[in-house]
Amino acid sequence: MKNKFLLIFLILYASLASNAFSQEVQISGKVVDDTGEGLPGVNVIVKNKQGQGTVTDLDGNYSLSVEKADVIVFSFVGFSNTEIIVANQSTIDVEMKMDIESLSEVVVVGYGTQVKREITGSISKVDGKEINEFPVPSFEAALQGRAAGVQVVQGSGMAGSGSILRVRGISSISAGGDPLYVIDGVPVTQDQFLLGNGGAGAMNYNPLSTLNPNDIESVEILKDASAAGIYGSRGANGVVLVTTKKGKTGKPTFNFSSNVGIAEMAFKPDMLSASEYVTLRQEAWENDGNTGRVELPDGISWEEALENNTDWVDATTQTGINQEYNLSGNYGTKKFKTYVGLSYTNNESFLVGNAFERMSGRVNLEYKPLDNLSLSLNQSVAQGVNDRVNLFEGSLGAALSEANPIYPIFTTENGVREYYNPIDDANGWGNPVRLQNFLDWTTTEKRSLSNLTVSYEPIDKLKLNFTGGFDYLDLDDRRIILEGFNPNDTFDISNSNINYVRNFTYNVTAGYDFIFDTDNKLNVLIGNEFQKSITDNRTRNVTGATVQTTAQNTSDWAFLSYFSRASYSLAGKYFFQGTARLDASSRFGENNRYGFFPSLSGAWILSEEDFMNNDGFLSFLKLKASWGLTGNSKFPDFERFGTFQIGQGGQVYNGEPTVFPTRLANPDLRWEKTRTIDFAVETGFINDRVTAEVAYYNKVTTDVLINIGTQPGTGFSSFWDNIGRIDNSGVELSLTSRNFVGDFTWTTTINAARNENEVKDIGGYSPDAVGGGFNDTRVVPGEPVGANYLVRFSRVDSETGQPIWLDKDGNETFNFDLENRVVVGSVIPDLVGGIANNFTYKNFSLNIFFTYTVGGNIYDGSAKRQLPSEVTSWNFRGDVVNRWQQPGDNADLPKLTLDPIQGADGGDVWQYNSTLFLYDASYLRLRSLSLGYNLPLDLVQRYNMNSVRVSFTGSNLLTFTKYPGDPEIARDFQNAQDRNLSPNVSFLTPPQQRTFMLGLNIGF
Amino acid sequence: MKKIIFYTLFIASFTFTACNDWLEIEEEDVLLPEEALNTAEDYERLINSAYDVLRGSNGRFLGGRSQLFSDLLAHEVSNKGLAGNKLEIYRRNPGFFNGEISEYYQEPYIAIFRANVLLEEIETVDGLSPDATDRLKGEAYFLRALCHFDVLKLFAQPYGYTDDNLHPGISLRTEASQDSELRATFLESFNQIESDFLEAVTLLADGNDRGFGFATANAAKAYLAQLYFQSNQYDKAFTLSNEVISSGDYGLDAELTSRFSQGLSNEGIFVMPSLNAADHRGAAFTNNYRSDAVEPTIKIAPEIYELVAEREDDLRLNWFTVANEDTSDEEIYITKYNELVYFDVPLIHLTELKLIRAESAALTDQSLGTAIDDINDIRERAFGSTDRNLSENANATAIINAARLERRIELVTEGNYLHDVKRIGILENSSNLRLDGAIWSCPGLLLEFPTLETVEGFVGNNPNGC
Repeated sequence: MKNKFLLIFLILYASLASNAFSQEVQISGKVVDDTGEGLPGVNVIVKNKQGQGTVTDLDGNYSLSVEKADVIVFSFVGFSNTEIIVANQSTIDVEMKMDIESLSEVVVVGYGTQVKREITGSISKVDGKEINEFPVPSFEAALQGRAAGVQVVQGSGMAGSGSILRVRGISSISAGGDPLYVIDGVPVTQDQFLLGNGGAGAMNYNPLSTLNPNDIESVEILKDASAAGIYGSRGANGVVLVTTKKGKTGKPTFNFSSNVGIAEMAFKPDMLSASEYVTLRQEAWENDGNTGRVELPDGISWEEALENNTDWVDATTQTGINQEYNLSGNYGTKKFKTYVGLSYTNNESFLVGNAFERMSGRVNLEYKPLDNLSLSLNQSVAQGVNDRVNLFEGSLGAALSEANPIYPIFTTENGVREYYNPIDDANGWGNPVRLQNFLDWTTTEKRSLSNLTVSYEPIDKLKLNFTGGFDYLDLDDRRIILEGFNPNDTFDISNSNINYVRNFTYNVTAGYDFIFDTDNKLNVLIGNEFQKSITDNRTRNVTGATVQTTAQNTSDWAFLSYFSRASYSLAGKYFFQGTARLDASSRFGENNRYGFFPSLSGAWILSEEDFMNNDGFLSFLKLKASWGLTGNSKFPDFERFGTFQIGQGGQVYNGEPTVFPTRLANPDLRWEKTRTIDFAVETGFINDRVTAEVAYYNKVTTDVLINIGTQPGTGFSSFWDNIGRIDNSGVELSLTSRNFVGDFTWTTTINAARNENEVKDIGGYSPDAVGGGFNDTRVVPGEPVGANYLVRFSRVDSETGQPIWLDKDGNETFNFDLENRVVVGSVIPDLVGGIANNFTYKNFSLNIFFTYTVGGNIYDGSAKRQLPSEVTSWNFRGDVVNRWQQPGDNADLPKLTLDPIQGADGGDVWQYNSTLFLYDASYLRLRSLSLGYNLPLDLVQRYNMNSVRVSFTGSNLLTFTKYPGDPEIARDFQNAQDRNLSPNVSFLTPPQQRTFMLGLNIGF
Repeated sequence: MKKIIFYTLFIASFTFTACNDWLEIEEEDVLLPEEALNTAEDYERLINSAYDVLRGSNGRFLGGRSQLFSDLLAHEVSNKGLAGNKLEIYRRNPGFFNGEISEYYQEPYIAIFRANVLLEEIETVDGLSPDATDRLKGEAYFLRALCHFDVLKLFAQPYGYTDDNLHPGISLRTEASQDSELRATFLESFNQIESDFLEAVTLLADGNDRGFGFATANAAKAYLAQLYFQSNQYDKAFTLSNEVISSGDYGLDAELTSRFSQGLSNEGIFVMPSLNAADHRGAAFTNNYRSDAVEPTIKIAPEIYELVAEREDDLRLNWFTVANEDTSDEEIYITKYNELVYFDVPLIHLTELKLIRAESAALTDQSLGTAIDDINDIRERAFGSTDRNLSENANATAIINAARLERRIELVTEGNYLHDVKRIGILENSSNLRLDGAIWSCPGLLLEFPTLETVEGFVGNNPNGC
């Protein structure tokens, strides 16, 4: 594949071999503002010559080598661009004019764009360049730390893994809490549970992994009700708008980029060697009052154990090779513009046998047959092939648990070398290498995203827009257990699970600009949208000669919406906006089918007022406020219907047939609603050298959709209902400061968000009625969603080494009792954010990007067996060293024992969830460090190229945390509720990856 | 301006073409309520499904687990080899996470829900004769009462625990609803169960032509007799047990092995019939006690074995086998459930009714002759002779003692003794009779509700390990 790209690259390169003769002159000058003060940091570039230009120094002076025919463009934030033809001039002095219009960039909003300056809502924009700064498994991971109020928890280092995005906290419990993803105006399929629950190899499916990050122009995140309100019922958890690159007017230009490098674990787990394990097991044996040598698991002798000494972490991990090649082309005339992007990536993770390969192609075409008519087609096709491993039984998960270092990888039976398969461990966790070699597991996704937009301006100021979108997803998950895995099987066992998702959307909008006079402008937009998604599932299981197939529809839903937005601008400093959306969903019965979601907002640019003394320090000041309702209906499609079943097989009585209810109807299910109030201040200081935005929000979610664990006395286990209330409130800060401008530039961007989350009411149900799947998190009134609900560990009894717990009232007890569980922590952090520092000097650039989390907890569900009281066949973690060993020890961990640690209640070791394994989740992480060098322009142009950049990027290079593992945790989730409640709960979760990449970027 | 209006209307007309039908999407390949329940036949299938639940998946309701819970609490079985959930219960300190209790607890309420659906809808079904309606309703009341009664026995202190019986009872479910319920008082619970059984007696008075395995008026009366008996209302217990026995529909099995057999017993008043191995209604009896092939999970307490062994010639000694005799590993197994892959499960039977009648008669000092005959019927079968019979003029105390002894032996592993001790404790206002040291009123002799049942305001039992 790599060779193919190289070939294309060479052909394109050859075809562009043209060389124009030119006449060079040297020009210089000074750039000043309207007061005559020199302006530092002004961009001075040569029009249509990418990469050619300079910036003014501290006094506003510049000099530049140009051609006489060139046009020089002077640009600076807050001022109008000035263009000057060089001709015969050698000194060009410029006075820049302040310009209100250019003060702000254009931001994509729902169903259109707006000038940032006029925006009344809360929107974070992340540029495509930032997204591509360092390689990530999937584009959404690159949003981490880039947008205030957007919490991104990276999946894990597994290839192709997805991240969890939470915009301004968690306001849902059982309904999906992820934001709505909209690509080029079309809401796309984003179901993480298409392949069933999280048991599937410890990783949920990631529906965003086939989108090529290199095709992304920008990502806008709509956060408050004013911005997301236009998406009405679908915007309660925020909206992520992805805009792909469009063709630009100009000669054909191409860009080739490649990144090649390696991936390893960002945190290497510390597990014991065979001799250490045997020593500790012996200690447990003696603690229990025994003498002599302890028996080892699976009948292994001490001598064999010490000789085997397998390092299972080494055996299941590797240094992965990552490679990525992108080629894109851009061409545009007045009538026709095109962008073409091709991409190939193959990223091996640090797990042996695990890799994600993506091939994608995108063509974005725009054709303007008439001045008032434009047609555009965006088409992408992609294939993602994920070579999977079964993380638990067949990979690192086992290496951190039941794959004991005393076991060998291979054994010799009757002279034949074969994989060791411990009899004590019927589930196959004892030798992950064996399963890894016998399991051929691939998930292949074929994805096509198409959308066609027709824009027509029949009369001046009236814009009609039609967009039709089709998102097709073919997801084929195939697992083959090869012959020989099961000793008696002389055939492969293959299980295929194929999902076909067809997702159709159309929307029609009409927008009109009423311009009453220069100071009064009103834009009104009305529109209609319809979306339908159908998922069909097929399975095919082959065991020897037996073939079993199933085919069924698993999902079918539709949305119908009407919406409107009116934006009024007065005197260029007062802005008002109202949105309204009426949504109807097939998931609700006729009585509650339609939901109405309005929003109102306003903004006031104070710095435009005469009474503000613009002494040059405060250059911009804007106040914003918004109120609105949004909704959520991301829950299973058919819960409003009751269902019955005819008794099958043994479900008869005395030979007589039966029929019985399996699900209760709830025709009154209705929209989960979130009311948001938002206040924000945007500021700019010293000619916007420093800009900052501070926002406060308050969200109240009611009619929360909960799949409640009902009283068993109802005769059912669970039931979807609208119950309770969740509040979120928080403060966000984003700040950009251009500390140095000129030859040496230094820009710092900081963002931080603090969110407070509280469950106000869950309808009186027991805390165990809403649980976080495997993960011992609960929903308890008065506490945040996803409260750690655990028995409190007090201390180790220094005399006996026994653990001492606290009962509900805080009294010490030796009795471990789950009735003593209390809320002891939360998986939601207090503060999250990122700090970016970008430096440039001449042709060099250096980007250093940190992300951080303050507060919140991590619960390590596997530690109860890795740091055991009760010694099992699991290996121990290195920090077991802090255990009690003899009377008088003041230890962190209790003594080791081989006896079952059943307390008075006789509970199982798996229930021993306590604060002993609850950690502080705070961390600071050097997320990326990127060093780049642009080859000198004259050298590059000698080879007919526009730019050549080489770079080195490292990701996850340093992590500061108290947690003895990787502090970014999103394990496999069972369902949306688990995903809402249980980030930061670990169970043998693999760490993130650390990558080192070399990059090459050529523009020609 | 006209143009603007024109285009706006044009767009609007386009947008409003979408209609509500696009949003009316139903799940494929499922049976909706309106399709499932229409005809009389459908409702008969519905009530069949309620009967089907009585055994519980793998016997976790009346297929053996409910009975085992009582015997674990009473220590009628041994703690040898017990672990996990069962050990918790044996220790009389089960938590609300006890998995076996949770599994058990939902089953009766599944049956109750189905019965409630029938009771709410049956009057509106076309084409049902009044007799057929009465019969179906009678069955529904019977099943609802039976299920509530079983939960009441395990989760609430007995009748008479407080003078006014206003101590906590159980969740009563008389509507097919998902609403949360708190515990009713014992009195309310008792009254509901009594009234449901009485309804069943009335509605099934004309008989149930569905035959073996289905509810009858006699089955409802037999359970009422048990309800009154356990509530120390012996007059009523006598009357009802006498009515059932006098009907002549049932006969004592000649063989001691017939009660748990496939089709060999005549004792059963309400029986769950097993048609084949997959249909086995007593799966938990088999899984816990069957001892002919493997070591059983549950062993028998030596005390009950000694009671049988100490009287020579008691043929019921064959119900027991002693493994590793006279060693420290000596264990006693029950053999009642051996050699059968499946068997019918009599939930209430003539042996029990005769012993109810005998003791009730003696306690109310009436029909002592009948009582003596009842005891002697049991004893003659047990000893194969009249040697151990009560004398014809045995006094009430002798009858009572005999009845209680025979009950404990005859109903071994059928979950009876726990409730006898509670009943007698209240009757005699005494704590002399103990269950392995525990007095009858100890909260440890109750199960704890599953965690999900304990909504705000729901009071648990807090078993204390007594």
